[in-house]
Amino acid sequence: MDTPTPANGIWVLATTAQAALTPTSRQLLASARALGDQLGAPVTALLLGGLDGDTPPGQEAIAYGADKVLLLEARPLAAYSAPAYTAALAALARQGAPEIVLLGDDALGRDLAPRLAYRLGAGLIQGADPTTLEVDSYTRAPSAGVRRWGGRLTTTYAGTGDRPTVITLGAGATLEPYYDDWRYGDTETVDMAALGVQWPSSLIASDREDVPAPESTDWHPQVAAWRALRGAQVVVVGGAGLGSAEGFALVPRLAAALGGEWGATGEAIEAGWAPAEREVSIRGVTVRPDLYAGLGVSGNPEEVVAMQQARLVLAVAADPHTTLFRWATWGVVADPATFAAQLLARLT
Amino acid sequence: MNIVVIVRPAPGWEKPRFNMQTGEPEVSPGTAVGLLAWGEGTWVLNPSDRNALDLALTLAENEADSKVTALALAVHDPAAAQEALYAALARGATGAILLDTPDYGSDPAVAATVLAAAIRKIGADAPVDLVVSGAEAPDGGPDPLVPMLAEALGWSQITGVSRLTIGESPLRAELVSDNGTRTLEARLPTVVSVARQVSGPARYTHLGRELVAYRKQGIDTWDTARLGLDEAAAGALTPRTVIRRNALADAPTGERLTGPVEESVAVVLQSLKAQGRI
Repeated sequence: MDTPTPANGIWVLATTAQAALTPTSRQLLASARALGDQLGAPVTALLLGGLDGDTPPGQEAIAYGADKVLLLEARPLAAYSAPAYTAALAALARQGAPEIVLLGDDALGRDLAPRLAYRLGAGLIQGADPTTLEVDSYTRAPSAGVRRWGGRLTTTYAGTGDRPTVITLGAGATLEPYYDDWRYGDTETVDMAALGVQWPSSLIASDREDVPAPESTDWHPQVAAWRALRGAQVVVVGGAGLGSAEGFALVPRLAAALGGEWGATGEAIEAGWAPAEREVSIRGVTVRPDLYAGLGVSGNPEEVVAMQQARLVLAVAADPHTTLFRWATWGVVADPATFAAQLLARLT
Repeated sequence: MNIVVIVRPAPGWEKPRFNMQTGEPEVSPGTAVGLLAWGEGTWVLNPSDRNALDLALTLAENEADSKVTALALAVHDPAAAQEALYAALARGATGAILLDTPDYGSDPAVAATVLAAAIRKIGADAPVDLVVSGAEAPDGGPDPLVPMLAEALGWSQITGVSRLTIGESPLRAELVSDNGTRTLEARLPTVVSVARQVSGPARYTHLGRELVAYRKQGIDTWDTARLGLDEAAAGALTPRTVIRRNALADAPTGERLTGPVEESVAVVLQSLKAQGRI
């Protein structure tokens, strides 16, 4: 039987949206490519679940850094569930265990990566900063830094080298996806019957029919705001330091002028200046923009955790001892509303 | 319904010092630890776990003959785990168990193995229907405990839940995911992780109940022997990742602009242009 041999080396769990690779997957492949080159190990992109007749983005995955693409299609995989995905990947690993498995630090990664790591007997590094991802050429053990405790401490974890390591990467705004149209490689469909997957018997029952399908994003205002903020390269957040609703009104205008999205801290929302779905804090959305501007934002841990992976941070506050200045590329000691008004005037 | 809630302590004080070996907050020697010592050393229930406990208690209230047992692993600072359990008892948990094992907390897979053994032990008397814990670890990052525990137990899992009610299956879970709000019908037994945003009635705890918890209700302490973790399981208790180093956040290297607003605006505009942002 012609079962494609899965590569040892590095696995990337790729995801698709509208038959194209998600931006997260492209970044994962870029990281995997770098590790693969360093270790001399192949990079395999894994696509699970079947794509309803769309052509799978095999060539796209190759161009973004994979050496091989494996498609795993089976009825139990049609709807995502962690036990089913884990069962399929564990069966695949029996034929050739990977050294490193990469997933994104999103809802899928948080649900699946720990379970998969446990099943594979692998170590787990969760929420790693992709710019700190390294591998020791001698022991072949990967290591990565994770920012913890509101960004106050960075812990570098390392795999042990004698077992696989599963790593979930936060979206690093600085990591450029690798792309080479000239790369070539195979896309293969795995013979699931030959794998002998032990499908789990207890799976969660399906979603209730009367709830609108997740694909329609407009029906829920919160979803639209969150999606916009999550993908934004520029985020302007207003806090209590703006002083009033009139002061806060500058925030969306400034965000538009900078070509980005706007958010608010919990205090600004409690004051009634912004709707709840715009909260950028540990209770709301976590943003990973290239530029984060905090106007009148104090920078307490709840707020910092939601923006600490921004590349450039502009903090404007009246109090020179404001905590957010610790993370700021530019810390401006001034009245945030006045600063925002003048910056807006110069930009428009 | 027999529910187990896994609780963890989080530092309740503003600026923790960190142990640079373990990367965990530590209390300076000589600080009084306890409910009445405000300031450094006050451990609280990890907020995410507190939400998990509240959801479990609300479920239990509506079902006859329900038990909610709080379970904690003694990690790094065993007194901290005790504080978390006392807080859980004060909020209304019917029982509390402390797993007094060597420090397995550093590797989540090892913690999951030990906790799974404890849950199986609890389930020996009456089957455990539901295990809940927070989706967020005390350090603010995503917590791998629930999916690992689900795999260790061989159960299904639901992560990021904001509401739990009795439904048809018999459990109904609401979650807010990347795509919006979803409602799932879940079969039991299952392991659930609870988000920081929860809906449903708020629950409160009174300081008086915390003192009562201290005096009257005890915490059961179990050790490794009681859990049945023997040499055969020793392989499963080896850490799979190591901490290479811990580093405190760098001192700010950014510019501080304290001049007149017009100048600051000009400097920022210049820098943004240089960075290609405008």
